[in-house]
Amino acid sequence: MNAAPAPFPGGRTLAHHKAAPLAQPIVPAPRPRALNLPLHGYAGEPEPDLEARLQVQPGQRVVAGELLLAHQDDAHPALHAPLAGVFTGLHRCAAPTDPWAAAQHLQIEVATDAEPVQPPDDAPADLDLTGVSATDVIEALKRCGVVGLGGARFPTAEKVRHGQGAVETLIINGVGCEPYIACDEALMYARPRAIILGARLLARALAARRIVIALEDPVADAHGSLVTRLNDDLQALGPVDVEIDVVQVPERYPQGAERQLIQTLTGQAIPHHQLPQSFGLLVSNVATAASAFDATIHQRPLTHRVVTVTGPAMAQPMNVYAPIGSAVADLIELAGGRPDDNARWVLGGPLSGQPIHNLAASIDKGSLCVLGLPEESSSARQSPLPCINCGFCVSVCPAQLLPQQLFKLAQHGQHTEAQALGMMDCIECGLCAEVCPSHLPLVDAYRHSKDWLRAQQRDERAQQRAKRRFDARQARIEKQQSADQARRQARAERLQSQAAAQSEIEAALARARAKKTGPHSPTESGKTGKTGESGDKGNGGDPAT
Amino acid sequence: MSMGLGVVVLVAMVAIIVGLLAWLGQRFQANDTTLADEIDALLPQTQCAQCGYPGCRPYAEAIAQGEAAINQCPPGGQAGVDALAHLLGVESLPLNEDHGEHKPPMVAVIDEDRCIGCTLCINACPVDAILGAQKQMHTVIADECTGCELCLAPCPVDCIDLIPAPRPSIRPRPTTDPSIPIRVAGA
Repeated sequence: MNAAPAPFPGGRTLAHHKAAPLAQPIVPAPRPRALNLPLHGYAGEPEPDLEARLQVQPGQRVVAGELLLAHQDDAHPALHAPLAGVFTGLHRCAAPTDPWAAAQHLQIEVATDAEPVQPPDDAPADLDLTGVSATDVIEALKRCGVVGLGGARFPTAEKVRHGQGAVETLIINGVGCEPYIACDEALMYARPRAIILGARLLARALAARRIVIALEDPVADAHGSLVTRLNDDLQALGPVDVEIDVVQVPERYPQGAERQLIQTLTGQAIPHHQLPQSFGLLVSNVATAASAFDATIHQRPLTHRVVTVTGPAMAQPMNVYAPIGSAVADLIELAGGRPDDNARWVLGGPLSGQPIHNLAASIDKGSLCVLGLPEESSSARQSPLPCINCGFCVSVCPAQLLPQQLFKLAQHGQHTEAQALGMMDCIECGLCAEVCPSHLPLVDAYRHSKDWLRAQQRDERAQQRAKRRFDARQARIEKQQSADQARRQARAERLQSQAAAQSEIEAALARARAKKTGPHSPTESGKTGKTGESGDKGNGGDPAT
Repeated sequence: MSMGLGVVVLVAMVAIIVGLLAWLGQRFQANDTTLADEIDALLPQTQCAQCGYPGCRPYAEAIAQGEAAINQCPPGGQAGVDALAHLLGVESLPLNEDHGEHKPPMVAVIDEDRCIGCTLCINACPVDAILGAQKQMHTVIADECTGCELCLAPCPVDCIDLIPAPRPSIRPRPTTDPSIPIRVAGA
């Protein structure tokens, strides 16, 4: 596995632009006036049962790290208050990247005396992990709201639980391959031991036998080799029960994407409808590993993350240790940028990020980078021209798709046909649009098409459910009717005989007598009442059921 | 002796052939999807009965028997009629407005302050999406509600409303230059 047998197809080597933010250590964000914690589950599903999960009342004072929202399920992890203050309630604000959607936010008015949280120190070299069980790790991940910090925000506890016993090799992803995004490298320089120990805890929870820490090491010349540092720390931490390797992969975008990284490391291509777990692999980001360490050993909830605030629009590009819910505009100002500038602001990297439409919006646990590119330094906007079928996009596509075909289908609303050509395999890396000589908005079209297909799948699932429920109800009604029918028939047959009919008549007379004399012996009248009732029903049909 | 051996061989052969047939029967199962199944799969499963049949399945069966026209399903809309026409190899028809008009997906909501707990809507719901008991407040399981409107008429206190069903937002089709990626000059 140390040698890269078959690098993933397509891809490009790009200038990394990471040296500037890595020139200084991670900067703690100053105290903000307010925090708006976005509420969206994994994959943007709306929040159900919000009231039931909410642990605080509007107007209530909260301390730093206090639980705001309890863990519910796969899609709805726990959320904690990053700083002390007052919980003011739920607010509907615009999402940073989607001008059409307004998301619910939990708002905290930060106390004036709240201390900004410093980035945690690295783990000591002599820490003993014996006695920490798999359950301890999973419970800590759940309690502390740890999610995938590589951008996907999938709850780590659930990921680990699903992978338990099935995962042979845990891959720790330190390949921050997209230009400008340096938060993973910054963390590896700052907390290598926390990452290694976190990886060991995750491997223990998974019962994995092997850990591979993969990284690119783009700024080794200027800031020292990360591979050497990680190897030194592995030595310092001493021998362990799992095999740990540090692997340097070639610099090639999108090397950090889960499936592409797996393909480079193992030669295994993973189809989009399958998970790496099916191949005995699990990929976790370096920041997630460090968070797993903080959660398990220090019971520290995930309330802050490292965000790279960079680009030519910033006077001083930096990695910020920012509380979740910080406003994008505050981060830009901290890095010496001017939010009022006529620049193109992006959440994420220049290739796969999302344009920010609302700078007052806030970051979430999956925000890696705030990028600012002034209009003059980014190439001029050009109107799209017709596709000339040059095939450049096909040669760079890491998912081996036909981007030009997908684009045409998406633009003409033929989403089902696009799906047949593998639209859902697209990882939105943006390389096709990067190399397109006609400046076609390929990624925007894919995002539209994928949203459409996801909505369609959701509707289909709902239809299937409705059909099942309708069929079940129909079956229940039929069963009830045939049971009634059988009972009526049995009674009718019984009444055929003279003696049975006679006793039925006597029972009715007795009931009438009992009614006339008044209800005195309750047991007896109840008993006769019951027989009489069933007799009535037998004669007069069955209205109640 | 040779007679006994013959019997054993015969029994073994019969057993092998029976086993083979059973396996083949399982392996190459006849495609038992009926026309009604295929039609049912195209219907929106709203179970609203606007077509004049008590649900999507009965309507599918009626179409398969040639008893019903293909344009009686308002929730499916014109697209649904076209899909049915394509499946059946017949010419498409305009949606028959007598059965109702095509509306965006809706979901029922019970005004819980006004609900008297009569259970009439529970019995009317074709997909068991209303929860409640006699003299207890009722509520709609929004995820399971198909917006069929069948609960509206039986409600004696008119406490059920239909609201547009929440939809995931779909980012628009691009009409201008790419928003991403941003090419950095000189990079």
